[in-house]
Amino acid sequence: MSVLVYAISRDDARAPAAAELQEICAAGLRALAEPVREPLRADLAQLVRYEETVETVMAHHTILPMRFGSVVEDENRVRALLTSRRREFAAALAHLDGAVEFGVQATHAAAAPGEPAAASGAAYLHARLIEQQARRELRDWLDDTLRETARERVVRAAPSPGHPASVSAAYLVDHGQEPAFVERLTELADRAEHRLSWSGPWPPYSFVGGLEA
Amino acid sequence: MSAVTVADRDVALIDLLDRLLQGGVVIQGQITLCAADIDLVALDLRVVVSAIDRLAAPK
Repeated sequence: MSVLVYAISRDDARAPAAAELQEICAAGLRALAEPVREPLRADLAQLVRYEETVETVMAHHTILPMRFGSVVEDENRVRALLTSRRREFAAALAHLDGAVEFGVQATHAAAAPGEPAAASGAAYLHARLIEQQARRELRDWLDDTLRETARERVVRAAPSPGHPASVSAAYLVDHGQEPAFVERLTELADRAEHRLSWSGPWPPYSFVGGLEA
Repeated sequence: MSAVTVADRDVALIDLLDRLLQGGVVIQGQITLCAADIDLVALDLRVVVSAIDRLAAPK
C-alpha cells in the first residue's frame, strides 16, 4: 500500500515519534509515514493536519520534513530511498540538530515604484533596478540585527501586487538562541523602519532544499 | 508555530503554504498532487488571506 511520508529522523532508541504514524526503518534512519487509501487532497484542512503531525514529531526528534504530497508506492521503496541516500540524510540531520526555523517577511518602506508603463524599456529596467536595490537594503537591514543569533539564513525576493520590493527570509535558529532571536525581531518590528512580519518556530522546511531522494 | 500571534495569522497561512508546497525534502517523481491542485489551493488561500487583510484594516 502507498504511504505518505511526513519526515525522516534517525532511528534511535528514543520513544516513538507519534503513536499514529508508521515507522519505516533502514540504514539507521526512520521514515514517519501513514498509509494512504485515496488520492491526497491539497485543501487547507489537510495542510494544517500535515503540519501539526510534523510539529508533533519535531517536538522530540531532529527531522527532515518532507514536502507535502510525498506519497511513495510501498514500504520497501521507502527503505530503498533511506538506504540509497543515507549519507546525505545523516549529514543533513547533523546540520539541523537542535535548531528550528523562523520565517521573516519584510517590505521596503520607500514608496513602491509600481508597474512602469510598458512604453519605455529603459523605465522598466530602471524600476527593476530600484526594486533590486531595495531588496538588498532589506536583506542587510534584517541581517544586521538577526544574523548574529542565527545559525544560517536563506533569503529570496517575494514580490506581491503593490509591494514589489519585498523579501522573504528564513533563519535557522538554535533552541538556546530562540529568546534572543525573537527579542531582536520584536526590536526590529518596533523600530518600524520597514514593514515586518514573522512566524515560527517551524520545522526546517527551508533548509533541506538540496535534498532530493 | 507556537509563537505566532493572532495578528500574524494571515502571514502564518502564507508561510505555511510556502513551506509545505515549496520547501521540504522532495522525493523525485513522487509528488502526487498535480500542479493545478496546488495552484488552486494556493490561490484560494491567498484570496481568503487578502479578505482577512481587508477586514482587519477598516478605513
